[in-house]
Amino acid sequence: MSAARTAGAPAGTGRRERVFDLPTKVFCALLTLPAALLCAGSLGSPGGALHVQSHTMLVLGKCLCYATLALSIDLVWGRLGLLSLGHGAFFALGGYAFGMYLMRQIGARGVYAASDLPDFMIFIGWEKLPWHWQLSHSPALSLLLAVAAPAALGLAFGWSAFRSRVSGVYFSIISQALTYALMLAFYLNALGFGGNNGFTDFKSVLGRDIRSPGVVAALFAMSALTLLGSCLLCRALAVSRLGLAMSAARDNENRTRFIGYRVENVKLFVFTFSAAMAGLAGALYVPQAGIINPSLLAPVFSVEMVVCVALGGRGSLHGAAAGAVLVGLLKSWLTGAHPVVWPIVLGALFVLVSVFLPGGLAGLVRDLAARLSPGRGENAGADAGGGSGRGDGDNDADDDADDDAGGGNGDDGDGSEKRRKEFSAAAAAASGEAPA
Amino acid sequence: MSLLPAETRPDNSGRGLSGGRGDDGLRNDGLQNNGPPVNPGLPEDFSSRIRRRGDRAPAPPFESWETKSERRSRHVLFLEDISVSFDGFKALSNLTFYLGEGELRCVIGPNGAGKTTMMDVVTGRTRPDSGEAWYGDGLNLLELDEVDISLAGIGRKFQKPSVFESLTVWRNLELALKAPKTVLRTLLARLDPGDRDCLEKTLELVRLTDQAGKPAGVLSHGQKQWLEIGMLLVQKPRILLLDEPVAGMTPAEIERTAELLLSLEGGHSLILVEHDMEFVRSVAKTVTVLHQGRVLAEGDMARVSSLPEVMEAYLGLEEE
Repeated sequence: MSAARTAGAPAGTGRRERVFDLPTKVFCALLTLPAALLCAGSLGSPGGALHVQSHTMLVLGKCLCYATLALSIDLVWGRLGLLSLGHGAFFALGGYAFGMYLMRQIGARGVYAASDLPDFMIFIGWEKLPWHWQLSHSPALSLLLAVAAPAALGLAFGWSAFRSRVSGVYFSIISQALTYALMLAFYLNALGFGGNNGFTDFKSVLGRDIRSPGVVAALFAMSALTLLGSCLLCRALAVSRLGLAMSAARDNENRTRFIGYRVENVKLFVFTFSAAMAGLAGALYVPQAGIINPSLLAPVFSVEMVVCVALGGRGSLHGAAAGAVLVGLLKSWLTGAHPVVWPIVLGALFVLVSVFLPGGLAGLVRDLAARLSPGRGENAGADAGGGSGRGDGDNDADDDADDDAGGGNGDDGDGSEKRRKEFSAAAAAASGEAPA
Repeated sequence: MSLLPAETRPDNSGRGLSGGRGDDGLRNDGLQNNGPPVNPGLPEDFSSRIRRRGDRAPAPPFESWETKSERRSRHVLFLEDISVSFDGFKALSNLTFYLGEGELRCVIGPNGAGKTTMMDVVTGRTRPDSGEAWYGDGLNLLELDEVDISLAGIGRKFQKPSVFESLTVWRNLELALKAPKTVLRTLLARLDPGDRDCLEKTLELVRLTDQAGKPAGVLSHGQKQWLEIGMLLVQKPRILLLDEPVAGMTPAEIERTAELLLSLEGGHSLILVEHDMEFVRSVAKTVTVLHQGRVLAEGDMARVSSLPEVMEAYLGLEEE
């Protein structure tokens, strides 16, 4: 025993997983370096060899926002086992919150040019801003609202769902219902969010032209920083003891309760955090996309993001973000070049990845790395890999609850025969030792 | 010490066994239980207390000798008149069970006797239809949920080994470690040297030091059982409930587990549900036999197993 201790086995394994493990370092490098180069390129002189067009920057910036959304989905799906098919709702809510600020910035430059009110309000005959637009004059408050409103929705939704212990496929269904209900609500003109046209035709942000190279580069950089920060926060969360509790809750919720963790509070905390993250991503998405309408609230958008997560590798965090960037780029190219084939390609990708790459792209990379340097990747993917292998909502502890009760008085089968022999032997031994 | 069913708490009087047969049972040491209560220390309203309990099964005379607080001070856990039914099937009927501080108690009984249901009641997983369950210094278990009960110091090992398979052995233990378990405290939790020491000692105790870095899913069945026992130990519970801890273990592992459990006796109270009679014989001082949701007999293994009613319930003698 002491030999084993001096060999350092417990000391080595006892160390907590670091936030900056190798995949995280690689991910940070792959994100920051190209992003810095792109920003520099887009600010360079238009004729230069390294010049990057604004359009490219906007497409890439949107992809980074998708990546942050995918990361927030992966946090709750991969780490907590909650498949949310409604995360688009948080993304869109953040987008609408910041979109209100952008609409106010248009001011008198709108089509009607008569009033500071957004065009759609004039169109439906409103004369003053409704109450929920009161914060929209300030960019900082709007950004705050873009985080707070989705977080509040996530908190309320999570509280009602987790308190009644809704999980597994039922959770997925009600999360989808949430985003669908919001979509129907946002289609209403009376709600004050522009109905089915949503917000568009933005002119400026912080007093500058929204399509000027400086603003485009700044938005791109902020999207990249948001993704980087979210990724590191998620990583820190995952390696903390709370991260262990999340994995535990995913694998066996009831058992986790029996060692003293309030699983519903863990879920609520992480889900709310994830909703806030999605909201921030949405807020950065809207100025780059130049439009927001209820189509972001359609379940199909949320499902598409879940596909990105599966493609990138459920539970791998960076993998999910990378998957979203790749799918985003592919979508952007295909919907331009061959719009008809996009849904087919997306579906095919999903099927192929689920069948051939259960660990997603992250799993593929991990396997390749392990093959290239044997002995190195053995423990690396233990946790992330474990998550994808297990189904949702399998509560082992549930099964044994009724073993005794359900067994009734059944004295049949070979089980009882074996027990009978055992007991006879025990009884014989006992009475031989201490005669009654 | 007589271990006749007469000694088994309140439900005994209903079965027509005279109280006079018990000479010095577990709880009425030195007291005559067939005479009127004459304890000078009794409070004035003693008889009214009896009447208030009268709607349940009548309490045997010796029940009256102790006040509730005296009983609490001697027992770390007690269940009284617990009844649980699932869709009309009575899993427990008027079960009464006391566990002393530091005691190791084995609970045996045929399938369907209510052993796991009893554990479910104690850990807050199943709410009984009637009865009382108290723990420690006056905690009403029926008002607490699983998490509160676990935090209050009742740890449970499940029948099926349920370790967290995707986490390493070390992290399984770290997660179970006794610590504040609110969300924020857990988020900021760090392993201090004392915790680390505790985990390393536990690893050694359950002989998993070399497996510390492996995912728990790759352990053998017996090792998973040990890991779960280890997880129970690092919670530093006052009562350990162990549901079939040696199922699937090799004889050597069983022997080792018996040693381990015996070393815990005294420091912890243990309730052990087990089918392996050899194992029960090797660890048990006191055995409680459950049958059809009630306590059939209680006492040391040799006597209990020689009782005709136990033989009948357990072995189904009616067939022969």
